[in-house]
Amino acid sequence: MDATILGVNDIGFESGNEDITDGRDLPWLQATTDEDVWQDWGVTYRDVWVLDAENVPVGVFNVTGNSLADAANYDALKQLFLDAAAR
Amino acid sequence: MRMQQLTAVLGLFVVALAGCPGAGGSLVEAVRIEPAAPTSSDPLTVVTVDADGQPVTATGVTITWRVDGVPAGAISSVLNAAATSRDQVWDVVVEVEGVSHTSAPVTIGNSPPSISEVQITPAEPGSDETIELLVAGWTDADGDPQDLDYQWSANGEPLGVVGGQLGPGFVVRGDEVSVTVTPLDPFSQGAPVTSSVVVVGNGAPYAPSVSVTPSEPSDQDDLVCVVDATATADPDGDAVSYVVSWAVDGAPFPDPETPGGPEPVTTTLTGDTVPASETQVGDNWTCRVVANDGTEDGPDGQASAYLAAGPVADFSLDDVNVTSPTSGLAVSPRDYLQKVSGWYFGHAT
Repeated sequence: MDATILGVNDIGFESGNEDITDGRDLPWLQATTDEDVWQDWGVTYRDVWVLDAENVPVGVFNVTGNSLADAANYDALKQLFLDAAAR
Repeated sequence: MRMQQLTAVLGLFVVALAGCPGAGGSLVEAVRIEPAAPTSSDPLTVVTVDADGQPVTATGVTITWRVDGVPAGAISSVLNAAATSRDQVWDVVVEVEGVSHTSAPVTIGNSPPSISEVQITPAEPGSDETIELLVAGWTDADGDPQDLDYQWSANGEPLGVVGGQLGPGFVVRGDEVSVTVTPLDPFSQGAPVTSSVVVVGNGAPYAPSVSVTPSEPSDQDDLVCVVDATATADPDGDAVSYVVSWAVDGAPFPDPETPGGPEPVTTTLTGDTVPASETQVGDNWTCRVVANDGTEDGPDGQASAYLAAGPVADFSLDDVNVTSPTSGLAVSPRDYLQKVSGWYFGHAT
């Protein structure tokens, strides 16, 4: 399965970008007032939106209270990616 | 012409002729069957005739009816029609004072079928109704299956409709309709019977042909209920008005329990549009349209649209991770079409 994971920082938290990307190579995008995707998509802090190959949301998994250290949560999020790939 | 008929007496093979002059010196020279070209509906009668072919009386005669050359057991001067069938060949042998006379054979012909009554139903049809008819009294002496020919007329002019029904679209309000039905069998046709005339009343408008546009909406689209203006709206050609109503997931919109709440707006027909702001993914919206011709409503036309989840709204943001392969570039969801992507929304703290 060919999947890409990206992060989108909320407006107002730009100062932490350097720290959060330190040692990581995943794309980290900065939302702006002109492109406020948080607002446009209606997301919640710590959502993971999984999109299929047509950019249709397959599911949303919020990691607050659903730590990925828990195997069940990890498997649930992984399943969303697998479902997206199966579409 | 004076016709003498023979009458069976006491069930014996002896018949006497009413008005018989008495015994001795029979004038009978031949016998014949009348009618000469019978159908299966006609009784057969034996007639004794003299040398001139004129009917004469006779007494003490015996009669033997034969079918296809075989005695049929009938001895009366008159053979009931029920005893005969189409295509049979009948003759009759009459013995008079020891002299036997055999008639020329006759072949039983086909009996045309008949019907007794034709009635249009309903008696006061609307132009939007299918007009049907009731046919009563089918009779066919040969037992042929029922077959009917129909000729519908309006205002005295044939409509060119030959079926047993007259569907909507052939007549309009005020037309005077009748139908002539002719009974048929494989060999002939019977006497046609014409119904009484019925006058066609007003027809309700047809159910409008309705669609919702766009046909695959998202929650970003206004939903517009569209009536196909090219379709015939009313069977009488009346101008019609339309009333549009909406429901979402089966519940009326606007909600009658919430006066002053959101309502449809108007694009072409009053209330034909649901603003996108009132919709959300997963909604199933149905518009219902009823036409009125100034006299009555017609049946409704309906169409639905389901707001399936669509692609996310696109955006373009800079990648601020200096170690990412796309560092410093503008990145959009569209860059990941044809792939699965996961988007984490967090705070850099």
